[in-house]
Amino acid sequence: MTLYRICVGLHLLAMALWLGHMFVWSIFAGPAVKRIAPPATGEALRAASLSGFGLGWPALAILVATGLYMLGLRGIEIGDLVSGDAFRGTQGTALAVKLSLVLAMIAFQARFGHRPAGAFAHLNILVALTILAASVVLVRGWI
Amino acid sequence: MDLLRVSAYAHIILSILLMGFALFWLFMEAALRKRHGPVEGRELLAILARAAWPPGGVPESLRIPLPWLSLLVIAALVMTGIPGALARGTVSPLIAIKIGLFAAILSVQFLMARNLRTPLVRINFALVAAVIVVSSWAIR
Repeated sequence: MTLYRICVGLHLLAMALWLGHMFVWSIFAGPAVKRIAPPATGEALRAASLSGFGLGWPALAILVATGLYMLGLRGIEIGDLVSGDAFRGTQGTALAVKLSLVLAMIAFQARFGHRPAGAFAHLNILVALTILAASVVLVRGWI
Repeated sequence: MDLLRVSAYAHIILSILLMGFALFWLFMEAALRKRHGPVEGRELLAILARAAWPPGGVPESLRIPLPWLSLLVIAALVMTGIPGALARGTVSPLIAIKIGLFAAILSVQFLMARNLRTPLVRINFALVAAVIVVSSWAIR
């Protein structure tokens, strides 16, 4: 097994855990738990569901480390990112979109972490969906 | 983007949801057991398994219990996986392993939808994590 395969596996696993947690808690579980009756039971379940475990930062650390390694295998170094050379062409644009939005999600994580974020939580989900679309373009090309 | 890329995109989002639900049950089972003890924790988990989505906006009969949402996600994963499978043409050993893991997940999910138990929740999470890793290796 190559280091590349380990990195791809870790990258997708960290992404699925982090975003899966975000999507399911925000879209499905959270609203469903709020309607459980009697209210005391619903509150006990809600409290348990929010009893924190910080998945965001560990997942982000894995995503950034494995992401930079995989970019390196594609011939893109940190210098290319800083100079902007990496952002030419369709896939370069997809990379620019992806990395900009990843920075936005890091900012969101730093600001809100495991705290209620209101409408920003839904905006964060939209950003995550756009990052995934950019990733598909990056791996498979636009056409 | 063509059908292949759109289906790949949808497939990734659905995989994330499948992992999210697996993580949700794993986390809730552990959190409820820790906070309320094994007996009350199991009762609360059973109540949680009857919680339905969407919580409003549709008649009660159209609301889907949370464990059944995973089965819907699996059905959608099969649908969105078909274009990629057709484009690939052959079944590589990794894809064969993926299909086997997927069949195991489907069986466990059916059991979970009927009776949510601790071992099933753990097995389901391990299988979903395994299928995501195997899928990542099959990416061309």
